[in-house]
Parts: sequence; C-alpha cells; structure tokens
Amino acid sequence: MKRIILAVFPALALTALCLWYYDNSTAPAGSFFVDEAGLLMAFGRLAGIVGALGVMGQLLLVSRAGWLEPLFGLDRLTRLHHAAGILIPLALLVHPPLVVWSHALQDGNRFMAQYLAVLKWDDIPPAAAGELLIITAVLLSLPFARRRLGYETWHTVHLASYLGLAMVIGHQLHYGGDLNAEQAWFAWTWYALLAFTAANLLWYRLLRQLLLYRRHGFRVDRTFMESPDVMSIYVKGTGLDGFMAEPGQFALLRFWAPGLKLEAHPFSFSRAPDGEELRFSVKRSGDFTARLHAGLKPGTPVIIDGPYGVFTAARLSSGKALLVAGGIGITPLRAILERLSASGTDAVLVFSNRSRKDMVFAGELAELEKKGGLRTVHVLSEDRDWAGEKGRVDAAMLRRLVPDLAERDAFLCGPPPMMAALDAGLRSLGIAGERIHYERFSF
Amino acid sequence: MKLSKLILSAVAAALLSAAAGEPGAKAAAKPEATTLENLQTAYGGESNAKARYEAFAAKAEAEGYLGVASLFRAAALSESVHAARHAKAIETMGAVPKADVKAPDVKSTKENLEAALKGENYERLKMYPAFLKKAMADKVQLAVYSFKGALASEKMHARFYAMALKNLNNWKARHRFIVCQNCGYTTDDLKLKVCPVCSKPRAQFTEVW
Repeated sequence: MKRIILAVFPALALTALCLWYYDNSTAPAGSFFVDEAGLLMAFGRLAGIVGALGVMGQLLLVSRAGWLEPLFGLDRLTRLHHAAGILIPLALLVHPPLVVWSHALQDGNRFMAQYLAVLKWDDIPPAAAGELLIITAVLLSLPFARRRLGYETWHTVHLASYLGLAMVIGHQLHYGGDLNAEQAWFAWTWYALLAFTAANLLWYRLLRQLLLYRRHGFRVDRTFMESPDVMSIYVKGTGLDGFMAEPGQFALLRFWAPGLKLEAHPFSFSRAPDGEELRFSVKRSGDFTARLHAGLKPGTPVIIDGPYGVFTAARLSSGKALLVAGGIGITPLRAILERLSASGTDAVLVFSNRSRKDMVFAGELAELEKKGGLRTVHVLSEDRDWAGEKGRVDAAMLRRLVPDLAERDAFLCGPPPMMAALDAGLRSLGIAGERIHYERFSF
Repeated sequence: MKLSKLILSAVAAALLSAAAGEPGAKAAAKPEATTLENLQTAYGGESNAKARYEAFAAKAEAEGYLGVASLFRAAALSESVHAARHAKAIETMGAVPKADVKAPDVKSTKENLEAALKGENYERLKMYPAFLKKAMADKVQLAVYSFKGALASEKMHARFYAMALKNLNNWKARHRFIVCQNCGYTTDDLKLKVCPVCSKPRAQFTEVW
C-alpha cells in the first residue's frame, strides 16, 4: 500500500508534464515549439511547472508521511530535501523572464517595458511576492547562510515559504494555461497535486500529533541529570502500551511551556518504550536545550510527533553487532542494546566520551552486560587518569578492540565528523556499506 | 542575447520547421510578394472586414438576429485588433500602413453570413498560411506573430459563422463573446482564463454582448 501511495505524486506530476506538452503543441495558432516566442513561452511555463512541482515534492519529503518515512528514514529524506532545494530557485528564477521575453517578442516590446507591464497583470504581484519568499527561504537554508542563522530565524523563514506557496497557488490556477486553458479537467491534475500535498502536510505535520496527544495526554513526569550536561526526561501518559516505537527511533518533541512551545526538536528514545513511560535524554548543547534544562517542570504537556527513523535493530543483517557511540550519540544505541540484549545478540559497544563526568548510562550498561551478550568498552579522549582506552575512536582502534569486526553489523551514532571518519574507516576494513548503519540529523 | 536567439532558432527549426505550413499554403495567390506587401494586403483586408462586419451587425440587429449581431460585433472588434497589429508590424519595417476601405455590400443576414464565411475561409485556408510561411522564411518575427493571431481568430470566426448558418433561428437571442485585445482571438468560452494564442490574461479580453 505504501508503495502505491508512493507512486501517486510522480504519476500526477508526469500527467501535468504530459498536459504541458499537449497544450503547447496543440495551440490554436499552431505548436509553440516552432518559433522563438513559442519556445520561450513553452519552456517558461515548463520552468514554472517544474518549480511548483519541486516545491510540492520538497514539502512531501519533509511531511514525515507514514507512507514515505519508514521506507527511507527521515534523515535521508531531509538530506534529499537539502540537495533538491537548490534546483527549485533555479526553475522559479527562469520562469518569469522566459515568459516575459516571449511576450516581448510577440508584441515587439522592449524586455523591461514588458516586464513592468506584466507585473501589473491580475495576480502577478502576489505570485511574484510569493516566489520571492520561497526563493529567500531556500537561499537562507543553503549551508553558507544556514551556518550563520540561528534555528529560530531559519525556522521562521522556512515557515514564510508556506505563505509564499499559498500566494502563488492563485497564479498557478489562473495563469497556468497548460492546466486550465481549453480542457477544464486538465486543472484537476493540479488540484489533485495540491490536495495530495496539503492533505499529507496537514495530517502528518499537524493533525496526527494532536490526535496522539489527545489519545495519550503526554506529560513530563520527572527529570534526572545523567551527567552535568545530560538530562533524561521521563514522559508518562494514558494507554502508553498502545504507543509503539522501535528502539533506536526518535520523535519530535514540543514542550507546551513558555519559552519552549514554539519549537519542536528531534530526540531519540533513550530506552525502549515499556508501555509505562517514555524516556528521552537531552544534552545541553544550544539555546533551546539550555532553556529546557533550566526550565522544564514535571507536569508540562508534551506534544510528541513520531516515532520516526529506520535506525533500529531491525537493520541487523549479521548475527553480531558493533555499536560505536560518541557522547550523546549513545541515546538511540542505549535503546537498541536493550533489544539486542533481549534477543541474546552478541554485541560490542565502544562508547567514546571526553571524560568520566560525561559518561551517561554507565550503570545501565553495566546491568545489560551482566545479562550477557554485551561487552562495553569506554574510551575517553581527555582524561589522563583513565586506566581504560584513551584517545579518539578510529578504524585502527576498532580493529584492535574488536578482532571479529568483519563479521558484525556496525551501528554508528555521534558527531558527524566522527561518523564520517568511522564510515570510511570501516569500509576500508572490508565492511560492506549496507552493514554500516547510522542516522544523521540536520534540520 | 544573440547566442541565445541563435540557439532558440536552431531548436525551433529542429523541432518543427514544417509545422507552420497549412494545407492551403501551396495555393498562395502571390508567392512572389514580400512580407511587407503581405502585411499591407492583410491590413487592407482586416480594415475592410471590420467595416463590413459592423454593417452586417447593424443589419442582423434590424432583422432580429441579435446573436448574429453580437457575433459580427465581436468579429469586427477582432479584425480591428488584427489591423492594429499588422499596422505596428508595417511601421516597424519603416513603412506606412495603407488601406482602401470600401463601402460594404450589405444583403440579408443569411447572405451576409455566407459572404463572411467565404471571406474567412479564404483567409484561414489560403491567405494567412501563405503569409505566415513567407514571414517565417523571412524571419520577420512581428509579422509572424501578427499573422498567427489573425489565423487563429479567423478559424474561430469561420466556425461561429458556420454554426449560425446551420440554424439561424437559434441566434435570435444575444450571445456573449470575448475578444483578446492583444491578438484578436474570439471565443464564447467565458471561463477562459488565458488566451490560448498569445497567453495574455483574461483581463485583456473585451466582452461583446
């Protein structure tokens, strides 16, 4: 069923492109593909259609749709969203000049004079403003700008792109000649695309989490400091045995309290859900998490959007596992270890921290070790008195610590540079890419 | 700019260079005429057609065929748009548009419709396809787009005249048409949002009633 729904958007998009070709090749005055003005008009329209389809596709990629996310994982979909984002402004930028150029050629006008004339047409001003909003949102999300912007600014600008999209819909349906010119039913393809996108966004980004909250009434039960910088948040609610999440998955949490409720952030379940309570562990690493550490109180309502992610024990393809955690990257691995321990899987955890005070879940990991099947190796990079492994985790260290490395699936979670280095290092040791599992967040 | 125009021309030629030819093109009356001469001929024809259709509209109004009167008024407006576009193309080529507008020969509405249909058929099947082919060969862009707009409009006029002739009594009530002020495209599809010929918005259409 998921794969059938997966085909809906591409099928509708392809139909729209076919209608574009049909409409432009069967115009009353002959095909648009035979002269300069016609070609400019046809490809100007195509750029508009591709840009609009791109925006809808982008929204679907980050809609967290239940028919899409489990197949690829939210981190991969988000990375695709980042990569595809740059193509949309290109299409949207060339759409207006191509169409204006065509009109200028047909009417014997100067380009700029025609541009100014077109700007006065019915719904062109809101469409131009909407396009500007979308392009601005994309440009400010590019790495060079994103690095300089705070999350809040980026988030607000991104929300503005929804307004931009709303502003160009009228233009699409009004001037979208290829979709509404002579055959009224052509427009239904576009209505279907818009409706499909809007329905997915509305349900998966808004209604589903509200429904979950209504059903379970999630609230913060208590907090516990695992280390000076890491706080575990215990969440309780009604009927939690009906809230299913795989160890290793994460959810987007919105704490309904002053100073917190405007932002939803992704946090991994740091323990497998047991039907009684949920646990998330959060490191103080930015503005939001600092506010969370300082001000989160028991009883605070929590809107949970999830679970998401495909970084779970189900990915294990061999009988044995190697888990490498860097700092707070332990959270999903801690939950996965619970599942591996329950199934008696042979697992080695290499847990890297700066110093002993940064080590979290040490007691819980020791408990899991006692049950058998798990061996934990703590590695500290900045603790001179540490009697155990010291330094940074790399492929050579892993080969030394885990001689049967090649027989294991590797689960990696930690800072992106560490994961990139380990991914390359493990591949160089002969572990196939499909047996190296990780999840990278970058919203 | 020049390079892009060259590329566009090449793509256009590669895609469908032959598509501009209509069946009647081979029968063009004056193959030796230049595009400027063709524009002058078309300008004269459109100017006369406008005067003729206005007179036909008055006759239809007097005979009680109010729908036909609406049609002739819409067609007259359309022909005036074509005349203006042809005139602009002529002026761009450095010449002065000239037309010898004769007094229209007005008969009964049925006969007027038959005469109008005959004129439109000549223009859409022979005259404009030949003019268009020549203008494309000469690469006179403004003439190409002017002839294209006229050709598409004359097809619509002929279609409506034929419909009226088929059952004249159905055309006693007024009929609503819209005419593109940019290219003259004429239709009774009041839901139309964009001109299918020149892509101008509905706001640039004039309603004729």
